[in-house]
Amino acid sequence: MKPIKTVTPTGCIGNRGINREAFIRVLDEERPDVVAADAGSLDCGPWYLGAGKAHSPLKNITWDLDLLLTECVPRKIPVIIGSAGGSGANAHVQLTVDLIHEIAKKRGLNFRLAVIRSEVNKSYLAQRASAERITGIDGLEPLTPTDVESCSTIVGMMGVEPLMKALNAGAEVIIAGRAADNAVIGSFAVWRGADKGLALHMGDIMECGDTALIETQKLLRGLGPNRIPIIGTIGEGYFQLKAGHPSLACTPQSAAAHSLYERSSMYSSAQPGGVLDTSGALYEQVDPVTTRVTGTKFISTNPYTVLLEGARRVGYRSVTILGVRSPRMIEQIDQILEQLRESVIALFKDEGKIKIHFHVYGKNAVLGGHEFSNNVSHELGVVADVVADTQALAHQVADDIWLRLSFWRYEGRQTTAGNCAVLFSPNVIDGGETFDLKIYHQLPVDDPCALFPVEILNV
Amino acid sequence: MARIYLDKLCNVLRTKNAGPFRYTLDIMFRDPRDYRAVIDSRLLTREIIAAAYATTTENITNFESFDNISAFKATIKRKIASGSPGDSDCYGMNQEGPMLQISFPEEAFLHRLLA
Repeated sequence: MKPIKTVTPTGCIGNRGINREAFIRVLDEERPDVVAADAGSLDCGPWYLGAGKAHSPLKNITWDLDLLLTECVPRKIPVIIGSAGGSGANAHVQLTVDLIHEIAKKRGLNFRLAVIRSEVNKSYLAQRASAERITGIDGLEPLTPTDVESCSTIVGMMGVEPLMKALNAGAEVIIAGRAADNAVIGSFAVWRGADKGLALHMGDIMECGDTALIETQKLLRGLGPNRIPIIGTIGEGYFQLKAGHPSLACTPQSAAAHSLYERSSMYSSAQPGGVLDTSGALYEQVDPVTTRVTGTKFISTNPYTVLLEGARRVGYRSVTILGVRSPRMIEQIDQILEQLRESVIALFKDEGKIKIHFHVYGKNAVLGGHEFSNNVSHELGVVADVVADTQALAHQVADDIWLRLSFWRYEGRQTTAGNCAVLFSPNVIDGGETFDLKIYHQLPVDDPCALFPVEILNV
Repeated sequence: MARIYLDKLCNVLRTKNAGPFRYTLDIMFRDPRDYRAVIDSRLLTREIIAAAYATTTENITNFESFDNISAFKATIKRKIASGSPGDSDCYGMNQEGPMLQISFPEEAFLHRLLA
C-alpha cells in the first residue's frame, strides 16, 4: 500500500482560524492526499444542537472555509468537513453549505460537492423506540417515544461509511453533518484501503489539530488565525504524525496525550459500528519531530449501532450577576441565598415552573462539592441562573432576585442603600431557550448509511 | 517526612468532558522513573482519586495506567450533565483542582534521593 497522507489544518473549523502561511507551506511541501477537519462537538453543551446555531464566530468559519477551498480545490486535494456548523443538524449543515456556495462564487471555484445530512426523523425514531429497546449510554434509561417527542433536534453520528459513499460518488468537497471526528479524518485512508483501526486512531489524535503537538521553540501564537496543521501518514501496519511548523513536534507523549483526550478509557472507545482497541498501541519517536504509532485494532460489533444525540427544550433562561463585597454578607451568603430562593419561589410558583441555580464565584462555584479549599474570597460574584416556562417569567424572577438580594435584611446589615454591585444595565440578561441532553442512545441499524443521505451538487 | 505533590511530577494534569455525563482526569508524568515509583508503591489508586474528589469509588467509572506513556487516567461521573442548567463547567476543563492536594512520601522516590 502506498502511504496515504492526511492533513488536519485545525482542531475545529472556525476555532481561532487556520494559520494561512503554515497551511499553504504544508500543502506545497507535503502534497497531502486529503485535507480533513471537524467543525463541531457536543462539548459546548446541548444548546447549539437544540437552537440550531453555530458555536464558532461566523467570521472565523468563513476564514477557514475560504482558505480550504481556495487552496485545496485548484490543487485537486479533496476536503472533508464533519459535524458541520457545530452540531451537524440540518440548520448547521445548511449554514455551512450556504457559505461554501458564497465562497465558490466569489473565488470562481467549481467542484463536486457532497452534502451528507444527519438529522434523524422523529416519527421514524419514535416508532423504533416503541417497538424495541434502544439502550442509553452512561446510565440513561432506554429511549421512549415521549423522549423522542420532547426533543427539538436529534442527530445521528456517522462513521466512515457515508463519507466513503460520497468519495465513491466523486466528491471533491464533503460537508457532513454530525460525524465521529476520527471518521472524518480517517475516512479517506480507509477508503484507499488503510487499516480501519489505525486510521481511526490517527483521526483521534489529529482531531484537535495542533493540540497533539508540543512547542520545541517558543512560537508566538496569540495573534490572528493561529491554528497549525498536523500531518498524518498511514502505511502498512503503522501511522506517523508530525507538525506542520518547524517550532512544533509530535512526541510519543504529546500524541498519546491526545489519544487520551475526551475519552473515558485509554484502552478502548466505542465507535460507530465497533470498538477501537488502543490497549496494544505503541508510540515511538522516529525522529525529533515525528512519532509512529502501531498496534491499534478496530473490532466490529454486530449489529452496527449509531450514537444519537437529542436536545430537549427545558425552558427559557434569564441571568442576573451581582457582586458582593460586604464581609458581613459574605459570611452569611449561603443561608441568605437559600432563604431568598424560598421566598422568590413562594412568590412566583403559581405562574409556572421555575428553577433557580446560584453560582457563587469566590466560594466553590467551579468545583462545587468536589472543592477541598475552605478559602472564601473577599468579594463574591453571585450569578443567579433562572430557567422558567416562559421568557417573561424567567425575566421577572431574575429581576426579583437582584432586587431582593440587594435589599435583603441580613444580620448586622449596615448597607441600607443596597447590598450588591449590580453588573450591567439592564440588570437582567435574557438567555432565550434553554436545553438539556435528553437523548444519548445507541440505535442499531442494518445499513451504516441509512440515516445519512448523501446529496451530490455541482458547484 | 517531606512529601512530593503530584503536580510537581507531571507535565499534564488536566480534566475534560468524556461525553456529556462524565469528565476524565489525565495525569501524565514527566519522568518515567517517577511514574514507575508511583506504580510500584501503589501511591495512586481509585480510592485516592475518590477521596481527593470527595466522592465514592462507584463514581469513578475508570481508573487506568499506561506504562508506555507514563500516564494515569480516571473518569468521574458528573453530578449535572455538561451544559445543562446548574452545570458550572460546560467543557469539564477546570476540574483538576482536587488533584493538587495529592501528595506522596518522598522516600518512595529513591531515584530522586540518590540523584
